[in-house]
Amino acid sequence: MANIELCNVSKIYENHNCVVKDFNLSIKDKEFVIFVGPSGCGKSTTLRMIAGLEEISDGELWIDGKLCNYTEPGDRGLSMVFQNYALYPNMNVFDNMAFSLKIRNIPKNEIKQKVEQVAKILEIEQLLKRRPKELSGGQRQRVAIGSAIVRNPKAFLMDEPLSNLDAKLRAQMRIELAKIHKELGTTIIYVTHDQTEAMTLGTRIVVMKKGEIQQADTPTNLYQCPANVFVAGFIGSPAMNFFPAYVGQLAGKAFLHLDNNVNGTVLTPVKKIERILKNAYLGKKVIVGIRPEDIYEYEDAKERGFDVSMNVIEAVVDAREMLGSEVILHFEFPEGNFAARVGAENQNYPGDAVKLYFDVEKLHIFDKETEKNILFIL
Amino acid sequence: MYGNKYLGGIILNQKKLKTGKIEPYLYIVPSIVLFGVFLFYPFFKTIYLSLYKTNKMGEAKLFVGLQNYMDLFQSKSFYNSLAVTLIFVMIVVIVSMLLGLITAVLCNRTFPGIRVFSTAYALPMAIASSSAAMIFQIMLHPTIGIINKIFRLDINWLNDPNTALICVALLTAWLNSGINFLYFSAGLSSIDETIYERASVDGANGVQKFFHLTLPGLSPIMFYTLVVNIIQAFQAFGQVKILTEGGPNDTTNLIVYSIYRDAFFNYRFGSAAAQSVILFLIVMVITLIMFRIEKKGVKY
Repeated sequence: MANIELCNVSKIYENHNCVVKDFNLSIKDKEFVIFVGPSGCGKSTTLRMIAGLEEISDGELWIDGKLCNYTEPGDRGLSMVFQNYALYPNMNVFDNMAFSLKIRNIPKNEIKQKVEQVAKILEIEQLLKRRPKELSGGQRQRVAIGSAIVRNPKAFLMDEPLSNLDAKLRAQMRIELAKIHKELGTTIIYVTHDQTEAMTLGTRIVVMKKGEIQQADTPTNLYQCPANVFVAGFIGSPAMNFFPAYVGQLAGKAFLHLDNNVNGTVLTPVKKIERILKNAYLGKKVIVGIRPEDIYEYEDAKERGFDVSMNVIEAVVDAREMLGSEVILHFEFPEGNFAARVGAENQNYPGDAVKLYFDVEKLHIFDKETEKNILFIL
Repeated sequence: MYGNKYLGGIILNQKKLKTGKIEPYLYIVPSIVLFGVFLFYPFFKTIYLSLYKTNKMGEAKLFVGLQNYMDLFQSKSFYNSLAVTLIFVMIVVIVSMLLGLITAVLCNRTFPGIRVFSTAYALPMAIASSSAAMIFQIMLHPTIGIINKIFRLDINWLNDPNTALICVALLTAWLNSGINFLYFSAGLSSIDETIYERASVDGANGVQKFFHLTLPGLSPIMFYTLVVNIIQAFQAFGQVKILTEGGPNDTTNLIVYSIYRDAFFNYRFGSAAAQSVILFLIVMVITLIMFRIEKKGVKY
């Protein structure tokens, strides 16, 4: 059970290539922390620095109040699950799981008891005598997790452990991982580029870009209050729609002119947003973000009781994706293309002009220069 | 007219069938001819000669059956060369494999100058045994040799019965270590790097990683290397010819050198052929045993 603290941790390679910059994070006991971000954002490097597989160029790593920058990986009390499972090919499943205990000279019957106990939790008891090459991807994954569990580590480090599995198995293993976290109550640090995994598993998500933390928050907060354009665009599928906009004034009230065009589409923000815009952004350029599920068909919006006298636009369907329970419509629009999530009963097809209502209560407004969310920093 | 065309079609098809049957065999003719001339013919001729007494030209003159073999098994000199060969093979195989393994493990990391080291360790492979022997002869010379100079010794390395065999064996081991370095390097590069990372996190130290991961990971290539090394060691000749000529007191009289001496100095081609057959049998039996053991020893 561990508290892990990273203070100003950086990773700089020989050619001054800085892949992790000033990483500050405090991970509390029993947290399920997810590092998420696009390829090359430094999430795996950060995890490997915590594991001790990469040297920390700058900053401090504290595990349970002990400075661990120079502690050997084996002495940090952590277990790691790798993307390719990293099972020892010459050992059978039992020996794979028992390896970390064997090299610590733990008595044989104790090892046997522990391995069998973990194998039972993961339902791999019948595989104990098999070699890794005789196992399927899902079974290998379980063995890798089992090998990590058996040591009773302070924390688990997982580097994209599900990315080699097919979609169905991944969904199943996701649920099992959540279960294991609940049962064991151990700290887990988990790296992924898959936002579904991040949203479903994490108690806290750390979104990274170019080696820097963009936002570290709960899945709900991340979704509802993204700190900047990057987080807003990264979390959520389909991604949030963005429009460049100009904050204008009409009869003493602030309005949003999409595409910086005074003659173009105008959105009337709700009071809370309007006040912020009027105070600090009049005459300035901003980025307006709205999630696809916050755009409604005109009739639907009317039924739901929205004020459809304003914030209605008309756009032409460019593409249609039927997902079973819902339909994603992609629109061509002069001020910027966008997507909307509508009900499965929708019958609009490419070429159709559709009237849509933008739920302005759910608008996200970002500063054009800093790309930061102005609704939450002011 | 139609009938003729039809018949023509059939003939064509049959021709195709015939050439189709012969064609695959035509492809293997070159290698069969080469093997036949340089391997199968000498092999059967050797067995044939081993049953005869020969004249000085090496022509079979008098059929003696297994007499050549019987004579060998009563000859002290033959037992001596067998024993010398076994000791020689053991030293060569152990030392050359250890050298190859250690150098390969050392070069399995990237560090400045790695190419220089890799080339140096693989170089013995490219040196002819006779030229290496000439260099060693100078290095081991009792009065002007660098070895005696450096260690301030006065040992006649190649003429002392206690050291001659070891010197020849160590030279051969060094020569063979180059190819072993290559084999082991290839074997090491095929081991997945992440299992070492997992082992580090699991808490294994360098020695534990070597014995639990590297050695088992090398076991398939290790077996192959062992077989090749044993066969190569049994066939060492050039270095013995140049360094010691079988002496002193037959302490370096390896089987292959003994065969050469019997055939081309004593003109006893029959006896030499019989020794060749015995050498062949020894190597074959050892190889077969090794393949039997492989199934148990190779880890995956």
